[in-house]
Amino acid sequence: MLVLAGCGGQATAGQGGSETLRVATSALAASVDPMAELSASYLRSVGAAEGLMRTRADGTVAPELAEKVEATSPTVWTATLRPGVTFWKGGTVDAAAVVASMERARAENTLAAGLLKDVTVAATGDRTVTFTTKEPSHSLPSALSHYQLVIHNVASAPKEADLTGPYRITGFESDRRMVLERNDRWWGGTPGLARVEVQKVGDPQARAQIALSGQAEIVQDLPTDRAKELSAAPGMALVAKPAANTVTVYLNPSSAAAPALADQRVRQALSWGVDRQEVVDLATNGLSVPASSWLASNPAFPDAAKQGYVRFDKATAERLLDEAGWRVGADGKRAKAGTKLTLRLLTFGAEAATGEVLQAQWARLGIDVQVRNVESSLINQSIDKGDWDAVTQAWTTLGDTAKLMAAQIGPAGAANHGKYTDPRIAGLLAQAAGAPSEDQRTAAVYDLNKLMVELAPSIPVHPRVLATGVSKKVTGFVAHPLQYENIVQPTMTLG
Amino acid sequence: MRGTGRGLFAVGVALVGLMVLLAVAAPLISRYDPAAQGVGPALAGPSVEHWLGTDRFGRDLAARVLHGGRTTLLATAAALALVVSVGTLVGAAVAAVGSIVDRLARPLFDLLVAFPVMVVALALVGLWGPSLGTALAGVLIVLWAPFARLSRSLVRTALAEPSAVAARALGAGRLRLLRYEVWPRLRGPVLVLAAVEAAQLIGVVAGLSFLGLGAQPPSAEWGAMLQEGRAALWSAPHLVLAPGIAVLVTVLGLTCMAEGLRDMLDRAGQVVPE
Repeated sequence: MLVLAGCGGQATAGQGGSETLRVATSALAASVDPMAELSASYLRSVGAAEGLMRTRADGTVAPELAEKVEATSPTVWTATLRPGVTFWKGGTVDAAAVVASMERARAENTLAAGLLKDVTVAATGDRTVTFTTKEPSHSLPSALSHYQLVIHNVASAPKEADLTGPYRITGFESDRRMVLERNDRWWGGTPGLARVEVQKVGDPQARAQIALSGQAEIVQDLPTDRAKELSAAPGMALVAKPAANTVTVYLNPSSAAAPALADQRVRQALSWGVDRQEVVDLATNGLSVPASSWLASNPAFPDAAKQGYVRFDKATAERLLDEAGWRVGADGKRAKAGTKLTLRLLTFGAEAATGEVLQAQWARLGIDVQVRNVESSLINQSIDKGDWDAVTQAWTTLGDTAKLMAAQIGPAGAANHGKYTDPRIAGLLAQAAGAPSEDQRTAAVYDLNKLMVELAPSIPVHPRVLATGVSKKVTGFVAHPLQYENIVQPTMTLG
Repeated sequence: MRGTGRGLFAVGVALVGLMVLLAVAAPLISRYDPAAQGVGPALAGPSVEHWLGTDRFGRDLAARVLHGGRTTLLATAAALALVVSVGTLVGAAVAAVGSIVDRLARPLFDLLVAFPVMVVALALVGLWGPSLGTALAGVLIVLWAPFARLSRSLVRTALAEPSAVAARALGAGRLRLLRYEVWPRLRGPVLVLAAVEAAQLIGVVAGLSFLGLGAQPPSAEWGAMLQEGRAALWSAPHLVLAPGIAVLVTVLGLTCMAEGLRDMLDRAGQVVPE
């Protein structure tokens, strides 16, 4: 029987100070209702919302509002709630409240509905909630740690937020500003800060200036191209952590404009032809790390960094392209039967720099790449229309790994943009999700990752960088691979 | 009181000529490929090896500024040639035909002249996606109209001059009238306007690239380089200074040319566009 148990409160929170922590972020919730799109992630990141479980910085999950979560049969997980947990307004967080929160999430949020698909949630005691799955499930604790399943008081929603976190919201301007004050009822003790002021500052350069001038103690999403200047700033530390997502170039094997991508050898050649260390150095100022395989950015699967495209191998890339019939002409460009090897690469946001380095590296192989940096909605539109060759996206790798891999390579996977298929995929996905032992499930995940390397539906490059400016007055900041766990911690204080 | 304008014109020609020369001779002056990454350390300052330093990808900034001049100046020159010829010919034709065509065309010219070039270019980029070609197409849709309006007005005036009336009475054909009566009155003002619009065009081309809607990577273009350098304004100001000065010198040169030419025409008693 698998038991995931917590060890009392979140610890050392207990010596509350009187200081105000000022935070500058790139984005902020549009609503205080955690079931509104994306709101829960922001609410969690600022210490307002909590779930039954949480994801730790090492990628493992641990109980949060639950005292323990145990598998009582292959299809039943039982969560025992911590005693004495209340919502901000004083209501008890009992089994009935948790069930109501889960059911509202399922009804009102598609992401939550996906996480709770085929899961029956029932209160089986004052502090006991059972989760019954249709099939044996090993990933329910991971799902419960997802930000979209934070526990909220349904009676107050959607007009008011009544959550459980160490900081309660006392002021809010949609998408602009949020003020939080210490929640004296918090179950883990006295939170370290009296007040938190979160301000959205959309322009990355403006955020960098705020960090440099000391106008905020924590500044999120700093531009990596100012790393040198920010690192040297007095009174502030630049905390850079590779995120648990992999910036990946997805390839369209059905593209009419780039027919070469239908050939697995060409896709593999593109991946071997990427000097990931150079991409990291030039595009992220050395703040990220190379990702040799898609799963490499998941800290819970450390061996994934040893799988896949572990080195830059131009010779192999050239050989594969030659074997596929794309040979270098007198002009230095590769062509086959009069058709040039070209492709269009769409990038989004900070990945523009990654795209530009890839363009230069692939040009050295004789491949002509047009790079355009566009809005993410335009990337999605191009994929929907089928009018695309290559796009960059960075899907999360940390969470319910079997489901995340199914999204990448499964037959109906949301990130399987190229509709890749292989007879081995279904069996490995079933093993990854449902094999009886954890070792077997882990092995299946690694095998799937290896299969993705072989099929090369996409090219893993590097994780995104979470670059945060943290004042040296701040203690207790925890760099986390998930952005929404990364800002305000209950143990944080201002010295 | 205005001067002769010759000095100003000469300064303008010298500045523009210098920039054109540097752009044309770019491959001879710089030994680096402007798109080649890692030819030097990233964000290095000016040195003997890299005269203007390097950018975040370790590309030689001097090579990019010089080759960027080719992109910007060539795009501007091509667009200008097109708007000047189309606008002048359409305006002249409208004036020559006269009557109802003239009455219909005049409000159209006024409407197009009132249209902000940038807005039209942005609309086209929104429709067809960002590229220097698309941005220039937006410019062309609007920018021929000032030339058409000027040309129409000057041709009408020229044809009403006593010398033109007399020539026509003596049996001069259309071509002869154009050659001896219209063209001498048209060329100066059109040149002044062309110099003024060229300065504006440089701003539009660089501005659209600055917004990421014009030249696409890895093309070197002054506006795009200004955008790339903006992020490191304090730590590596050379990234912004180099293309910024290039734009400044070119626009200054064109403005001097336009002002000088205007003064020269003014002294010669010709109509000059404001």
